[in-house]
Amino acid sequence: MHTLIVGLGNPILGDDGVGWRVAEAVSARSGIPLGDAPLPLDPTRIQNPVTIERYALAGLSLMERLIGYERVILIDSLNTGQHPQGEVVCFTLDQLPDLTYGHSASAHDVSLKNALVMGRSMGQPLPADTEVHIVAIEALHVYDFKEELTPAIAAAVPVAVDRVLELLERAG
Amino acid sequence: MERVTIDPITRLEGHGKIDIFLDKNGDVANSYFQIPELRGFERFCVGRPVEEMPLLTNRICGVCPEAHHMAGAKAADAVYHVDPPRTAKMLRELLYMAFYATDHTTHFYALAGPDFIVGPDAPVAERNILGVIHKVGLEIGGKVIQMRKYGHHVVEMIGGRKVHPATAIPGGVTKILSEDERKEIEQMGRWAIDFALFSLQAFNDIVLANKTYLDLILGDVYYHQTYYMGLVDANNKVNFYDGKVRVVDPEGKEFCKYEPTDYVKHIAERVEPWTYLKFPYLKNVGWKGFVDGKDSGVYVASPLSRLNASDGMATPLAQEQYEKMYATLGGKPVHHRLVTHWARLIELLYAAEHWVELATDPEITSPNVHKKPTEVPTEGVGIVEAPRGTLTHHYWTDERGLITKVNLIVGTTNNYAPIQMSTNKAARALIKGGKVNEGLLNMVEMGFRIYDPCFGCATHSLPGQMPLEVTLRTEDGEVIDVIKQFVG
Repeated sequence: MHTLIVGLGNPILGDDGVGWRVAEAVSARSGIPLGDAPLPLDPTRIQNPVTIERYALAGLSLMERLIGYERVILIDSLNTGQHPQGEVVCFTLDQLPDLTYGHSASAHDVSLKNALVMGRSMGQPLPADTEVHIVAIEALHVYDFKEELTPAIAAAVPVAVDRVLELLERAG
Repeated sequence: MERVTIDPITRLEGHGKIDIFLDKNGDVANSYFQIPELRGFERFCVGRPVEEMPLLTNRICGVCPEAHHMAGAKAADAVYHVDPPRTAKMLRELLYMAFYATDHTTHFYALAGPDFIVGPDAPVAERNILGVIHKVGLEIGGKVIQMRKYGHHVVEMIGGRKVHPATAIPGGVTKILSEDERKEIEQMGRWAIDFALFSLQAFNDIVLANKTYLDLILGDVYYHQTYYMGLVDANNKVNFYDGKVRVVDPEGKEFCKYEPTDYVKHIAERVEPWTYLKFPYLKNVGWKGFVDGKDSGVYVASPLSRLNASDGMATPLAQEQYEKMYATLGGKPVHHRLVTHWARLIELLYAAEHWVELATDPEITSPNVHKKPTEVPTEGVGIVEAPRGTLTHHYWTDERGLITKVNLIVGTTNNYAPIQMSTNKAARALIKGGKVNEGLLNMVEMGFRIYDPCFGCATHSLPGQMPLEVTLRTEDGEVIDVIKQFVG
């Protein structure tokens, strides 16, 4: 099962960069190198069973990077205010509420859910929503330029790494 | 597994808010559109080598990294007083054309398309790119994906990296283009020209041929008479990468034309008490508030403004379309803001044509892609046209080239006052007697969607989209109703 692990976020926007830090730690713990694979336009080009990437993307651009993978683990900051800072929550994309209504207010893009539906309707091999796992870290300080994580978020990194590795192990 | 429910509304602190104040009759007294602010960028940059800036600034947001990369590189050239070789400039521009084609395509099909192809008052669940595909057919979705794929591929080939290009350095670029790459890029560019023509034809058939849409475009709701800004080349033709900044007045006459370094003589920034963001305006006209007219220093920087501020397009097919647009609409300048979508497609065609021009230039594969900076670094300004407006980077350094001060005016910021005016006018025109529904709300939103505002920062954290909340208030500020865009 070709699996893509993606650390999402902006590494220079404080806690928004936590996805990258977790992806790097997953790489260090698992020994899987951080990839910089070319766009998998041809799914047969995907060689390794597990690839780890770091992106600052959403919507269509993110969907395009998921082509050819059967399972995806996205690591991202979560900014809901409903969880304590640094809490790690896991869910799959099908559990995320349908945000299609908000397309018009989005930052120049469509939602990942819509992008995946679009990609699939174009015949692109994309993972099912139930195979898009999200490991999210509740974070507040995602609009300040800095490269360091706040202590509560930094402390969440090893917890998130455990969750990613569990997911990886569970599906083999 | 734990199930979580995400209420996106909790994410609204400081973001995407429109506050609409109603008078006693339930009509709109005023409205305020607030967009997020990223904090502490200057502090973050101080002390870093200036050559890092093209790499650092392209991380400001995930939407237009290429624009920041180019403006940053040009500002760094200026700091080192170095003029890159012709091939280096062409390679930067070629990458930029591929980026523009990708970005304009995404906006038209994912954001404007739902309003004009599916319909502004269609059910919300259909008013998205899936609705566009459903209505027009799978073929259109395939073409959009293909255009984006080609755009990404060129950016990757020249930029050396998938998402955030890393090629431009002070004095030029780091990578030479091979003949094989050149051929491939040329071929993709020719496909892009066909795609742009197909898109303009679709706009003609679906939008212009539909009387309801045409009435909407030419109606009064989305109409403002302001100044218009855009970069132009030596012949006053639209240019995305280089040239002078030209501003025309509401009658279309040249108001000023200046070198990037002189921007401070022409642009000032207005502070309002209700938002952290500043409103740039024309210093030599003055700030008169959020009002139209020749006496108001409000200007627009957008695809339509670039066309209004120029004497034409530098490529033949785009020039034909430019002439057709102004002939159809009764001359220049065009003040109907929704025409921006048409202008964006003409720019898409120009980007594709210029892509091929650059890819077929005999010098594009020359190994002469860098001139070593030898002067002591001081201060420099770089200006490019980002898809969503004129982008200015201004850096100051010490003699070692370490940043001491930074000033950026980003594309969307230019348009903050016009966006405020457009949403305000749409709200006043559409909300009467305290009644508002989702369709009307979308019509208000169309007032800012025209400008393709970039809130790149907001795309990163989950839930991953820019939520919008509209709050209706009495004159005293008491909340009457709150409409939350993401609640189904």
